[in-house]
Amino acid sequence: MSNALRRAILAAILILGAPCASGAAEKITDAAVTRLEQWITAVTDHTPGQVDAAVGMVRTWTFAQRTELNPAMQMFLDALTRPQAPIPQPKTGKPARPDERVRSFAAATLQSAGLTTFLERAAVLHGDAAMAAPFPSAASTAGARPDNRAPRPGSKPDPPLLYRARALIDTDGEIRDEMPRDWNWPFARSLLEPQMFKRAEATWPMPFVAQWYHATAAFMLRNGLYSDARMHLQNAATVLADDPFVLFDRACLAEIHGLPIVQNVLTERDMVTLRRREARREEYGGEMANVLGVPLLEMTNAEAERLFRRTLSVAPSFAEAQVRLARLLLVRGRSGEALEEARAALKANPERTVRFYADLMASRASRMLGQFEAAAGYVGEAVGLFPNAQSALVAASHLSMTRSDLEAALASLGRLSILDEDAPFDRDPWWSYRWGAGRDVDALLTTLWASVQQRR
Amino acid sequence: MTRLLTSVALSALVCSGVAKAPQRATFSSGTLGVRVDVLVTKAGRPIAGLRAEDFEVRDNGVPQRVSLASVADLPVNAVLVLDTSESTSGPKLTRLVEAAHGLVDRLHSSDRAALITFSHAVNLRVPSTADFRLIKKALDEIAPRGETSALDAIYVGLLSAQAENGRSLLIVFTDGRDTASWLTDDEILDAAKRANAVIYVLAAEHARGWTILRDLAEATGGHGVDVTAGSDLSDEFQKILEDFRSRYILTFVPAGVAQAGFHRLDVMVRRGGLVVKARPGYIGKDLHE
Repeated sequence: MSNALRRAILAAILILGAPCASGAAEKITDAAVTRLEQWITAVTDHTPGQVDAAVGMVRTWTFAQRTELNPAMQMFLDALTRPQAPIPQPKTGKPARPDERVRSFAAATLQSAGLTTFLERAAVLHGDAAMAAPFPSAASTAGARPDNRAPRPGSKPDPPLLYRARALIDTDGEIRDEMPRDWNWPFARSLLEPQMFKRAEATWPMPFVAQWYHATAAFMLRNGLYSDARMHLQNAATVLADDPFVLFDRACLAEIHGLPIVQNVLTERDMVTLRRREARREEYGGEMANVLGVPLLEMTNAEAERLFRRTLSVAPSFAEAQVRLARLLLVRGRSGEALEEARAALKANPERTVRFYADLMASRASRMLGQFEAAAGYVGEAVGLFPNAQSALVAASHLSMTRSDLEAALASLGRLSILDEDAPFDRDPWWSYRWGAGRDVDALLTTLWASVQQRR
Repeated sequence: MTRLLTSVALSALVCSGVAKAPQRATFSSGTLGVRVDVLVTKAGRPIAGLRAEDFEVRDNGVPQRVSLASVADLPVNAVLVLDTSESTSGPKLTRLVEAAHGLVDRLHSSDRAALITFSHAVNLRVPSTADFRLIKKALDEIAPRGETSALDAIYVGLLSAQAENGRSLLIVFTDGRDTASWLTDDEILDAAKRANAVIYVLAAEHARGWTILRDLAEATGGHGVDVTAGSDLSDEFQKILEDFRSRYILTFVPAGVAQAGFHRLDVMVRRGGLVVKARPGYIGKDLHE
């Protein structure tokens, strides 16, 4: 497994963190006010997409520093989103009290950047800080597991700034390490919550929020941060329930949970146990699979199918959703339906990579239906689109073998022998199938950053 | 005479008149036939000296007239399918390369060998050759990298073996489960049932307990070995080769059964106390396609 993959499928698994910061200090200290001021400057100065001084600053904040900052931050955000509240002015000749300084920061921010621009920029800063985080070392190897543990009943949620859950890192299901989860993500999300804008009687910038969620989710999917993505998209679902890209990203995540790279952690024994418990509707217990939060294949595939269908209900011409739905239908043995979806996707004339996927799915569905000529046509198209793609060459060969045409089966594989063994991932789109929107992460983030920069 | 009835296996397609593969990786094809590759043991030790009349093969329940090929006349075509994904780096790869060298050293001059490595990319490093120096050189050049496309690599191995004369032995080593193959479990199993290679699997670490590896070995009459930190890989490779060399090759032209579809095979040995191991069936060619 590569370092890239290790980075890519680094998983935050399980919230191990203690309940954390409910007992945080409420007093606003001078140091906290200074830090808040630095933060406001960082938000203003940050160049979206750059690992600049602003990013460097927030990345170095310790939990203790954030704990000290939290009351000031809460007061600042409260003042920012309640502009109607009077802002006390310090008496002449006396140094301003910390709370007075915080409120004056809010007033100045509203006057300069305005609420919406400031919060958008702040969310981008913390998203950038999260994305700039170093991945665990190669020794802390992979595992791409969702976090399925519900909060403890009755527990008070931590302030986003004080998020300090920990993640388990596993290799092929074996827990190897643990690491702090990145607080920047929940904090960034909290800045874009609708109530922040509602309180201020401002318009919630839904198009930006949707764009931000889609681009950042793409980053998570591209880098295998599936547990982060799960929490991220759960939140997105509450604020953007019918956004086609949020639906699509959620569907992709559910689909990814059903792919071998995640499902590999389940032993046969795990699966038997999980199915028994599922049938009895029992709580999951302490098996490794449950600790890691890996869902049963059939459950996650069913959820993915449901979400792809919902995506298509709001965006009927979303070709990649159709293709991925086709794959799920194939996995679930519904070849006829799969072929219909793949054909529909092809009719939409999607971009090259999606077309490649559609051809592969259509070929597999046709073969399973005994329509060998059609299958050969589709797989031939796939080979034509990406002549060096191992998946298409193997699919073409396998089809020929199924038809007892050994010569053709061998011929299809001949090309593999002349290809570069380094095999960059872009040689075969199948290798990046599990990235979902992450395939386009660079373009999505560039567009997001540009949109923020323009409003500076 | 006690009959030992065992579900046994068979190789589906007997290659004959196959052109030798050139040095570059190209594949040739063979003509159709049916071959049964059988291991007979007693108390775990191979039994030699059996004759054709000692065997009874039933194809879908129909007794067949079988011939016993002279094993001495059939060279071994050993196809090494080795996991070189990044997780194999370090001492594990060193041990694997040493073991593979050892296996190549034990091949006869009439045998052939091929080397396939896989990360996410399947690499046919050395197509079937009698020049074992090429294999040894390629083994020494392996650099671990990437993810795991084990199923696609096994498929390429099966096809590579299919293209050669002789008795094909696939030795698969992997330390992890698949993350990047296009082929599914069902598809690779189907391919194995159509091929004439016997698959032996050495599964280390997380690959241990991976069901499809066990199924592939069983479906081709081979077997799987769990490799632990204390395992002597060279010893395991040697045992596999010895095991394979002591097999019987039965051939027959199916009679009284339909050509296409899956054929269940039962092999019986008309002697008591013997254990028979072979593939449980094969997939016949559909001539009407």
